[in-house]
Amino acid sequence: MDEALIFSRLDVPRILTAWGAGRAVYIPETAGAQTAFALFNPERGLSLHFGNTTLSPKSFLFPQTECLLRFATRGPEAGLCQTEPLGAQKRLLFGVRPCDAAAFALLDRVFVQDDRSTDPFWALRRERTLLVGLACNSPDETCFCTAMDGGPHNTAGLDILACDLGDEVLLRPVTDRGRALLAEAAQAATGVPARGERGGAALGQAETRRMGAEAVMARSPFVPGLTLEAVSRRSQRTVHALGIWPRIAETCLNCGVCTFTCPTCHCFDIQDETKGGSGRRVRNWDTCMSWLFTAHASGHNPRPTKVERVRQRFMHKFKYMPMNLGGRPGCVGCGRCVRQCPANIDIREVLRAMDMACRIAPPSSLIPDEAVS
Amino acid sequence: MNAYARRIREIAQRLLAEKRVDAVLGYRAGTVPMRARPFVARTPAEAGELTWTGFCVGNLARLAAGLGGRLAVCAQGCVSRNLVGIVRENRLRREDLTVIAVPCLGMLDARKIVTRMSGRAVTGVREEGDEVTVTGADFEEVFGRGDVKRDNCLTCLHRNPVLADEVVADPVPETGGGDIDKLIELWERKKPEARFELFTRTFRDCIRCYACRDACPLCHCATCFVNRSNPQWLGKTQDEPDVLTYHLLRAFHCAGRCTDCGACESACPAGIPMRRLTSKLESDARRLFGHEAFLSLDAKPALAVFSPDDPDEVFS
Repeated sequence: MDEALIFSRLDVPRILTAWGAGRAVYIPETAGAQTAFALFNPERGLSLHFGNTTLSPKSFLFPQTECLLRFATRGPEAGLCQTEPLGAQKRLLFGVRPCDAAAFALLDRVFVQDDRSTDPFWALRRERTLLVGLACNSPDETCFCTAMDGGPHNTAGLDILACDLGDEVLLRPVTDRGRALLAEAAQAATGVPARGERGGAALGQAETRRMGAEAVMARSPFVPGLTLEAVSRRSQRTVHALGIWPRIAETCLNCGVCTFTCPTCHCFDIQDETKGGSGRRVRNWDTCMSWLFTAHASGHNPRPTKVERVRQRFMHKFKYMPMNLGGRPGCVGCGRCVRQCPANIDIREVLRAMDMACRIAPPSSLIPDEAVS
Repeated sequence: MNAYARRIREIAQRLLAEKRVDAVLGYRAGTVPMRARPFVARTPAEAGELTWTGFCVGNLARLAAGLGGRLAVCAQGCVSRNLVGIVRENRLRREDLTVIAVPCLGMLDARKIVTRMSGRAVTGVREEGDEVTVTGADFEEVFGRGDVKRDNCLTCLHRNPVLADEVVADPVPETGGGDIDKLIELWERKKPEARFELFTRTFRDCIRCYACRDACPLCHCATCFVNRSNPQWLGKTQDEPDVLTYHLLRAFHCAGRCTDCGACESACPAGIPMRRLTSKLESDARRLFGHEAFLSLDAKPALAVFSPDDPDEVFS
């Protein structure tokens, strides 16, 4: 199924039910002020009217807590490790926003870099998880994907992109897996190929909605002109030494809301937990906002105050990750940290402050920088 | 601009111009609807950015303790009590603190507003008297302030600041009018198993970002017990025992000190009703020991007082 198909919106639950054969299907569900991915239940139906999920879907591929292996400390098995079986079930996430899909594509480059460093847990879950995106027609006030190499109808990281056209839904395949999935959909409901006059009209409507969504961000006081260009021209040391950081960090509470709700933050901590004669090695999300994150065994802490920790988060997103990823920002512009930060520290304002300060900073040193994370 | 904001600016500009303080801690407009941002104004010009809305839901006493210098702080009833707390706990000297007293009509709950909008995006909120007008691209809806107030503000017992070096407005009725003991009935009528079930369910969605801890003006340990690594007192996982232990210990650290300011609940990204635990502590301190936290600089903290006829119910 190479071409896009148009379905009646009323057929979406039927399609999801069909996709659910042999897979767990998750959809965004809103309860009160929170929206979260939940198992699709045809009886509860679904809504395509949600901004984005409160938390990012990253925990589907990178769980907050994950057992990596088990070991024994006593007896004949002492010192032996057994890797935890990789048992990722087949899943399909419907309604992933393009920003979050872009984050998955970005994290692929962190967790699956080469044969020697592939993270098998991420890779297997990624392989067994199909992503059907839902294009954004009405971005939130906090959205800025267009400034972060993304767009409200972008397809990076997705298998299919769905676009809500009101009474109809346009499904566009992105990958081979997406094409196979679209064929399944066409068996469950009647899909009209998006060609000819009717198809042209639907594609035109989708295009209008894309432009409308982009216009919303273009009208925002925070998005136009947002660029990493000056930051990229300056050395790491220059950006590091900018005078802006204490003021930005001043009202930060140093909680982990920004990092834990962020779709691209991926730092973790590995711990061995032992009880009696056995134990497990477990990986948990960690946050650079925490004092403990960089505490050395010696007692020294290279990031002793919140100023260094806050700087680290923005340096990672806007300097280190672009250095490692050929210029791609480490942020996808989903706006969650803007929405959720208890102190309303707005990453868009921070980037703008970095940009302005980089423009007027004295020339960078000639010593080349090495990217770090 | 509302009268409160205008008056706060006047006071802050005067304090800074006369060099009576080095900085004024208050709020400025948020970057998105239904938000206000903590802000440290250091010049009269910066003080012109200060504002006051129903979305000043953090607790500035949290930031006041770490800023240094002579500081003026905009404080509602609860925040003024927490300022008493940080003075009592020697985290800030009274002579370095100027309280800009803000009689409080109760702060608003952005989640309640979002819930009532059922999916429609909010672009602005206007507050006039007892009315809150919520606007969007193609709608405008008016609510009574009580309908969208935070729960803790509905049952507030002390809306007027207990310290007042500068005053923003005339006093308001002292209480929010609601029944503060209602919330703990949730626990009291339940058998232990059902209590534990409710406790478990309440914190099920916790992501351990510690926003509740970090928003709280009571926390003062140099190294929080959850960050202790030698020995490590608490596991890092999302497993129930780790999550529940964190919440239980955090709550106990607030015993006799919690002012029910609601900052923890407002900060939680998962929408967890944090006050279910802390309100029980507040209630025990008040009903069993006749103690309300930090009402004056002279009152002794509940945990610093022992009397042979103290009730024992607290252990049951």
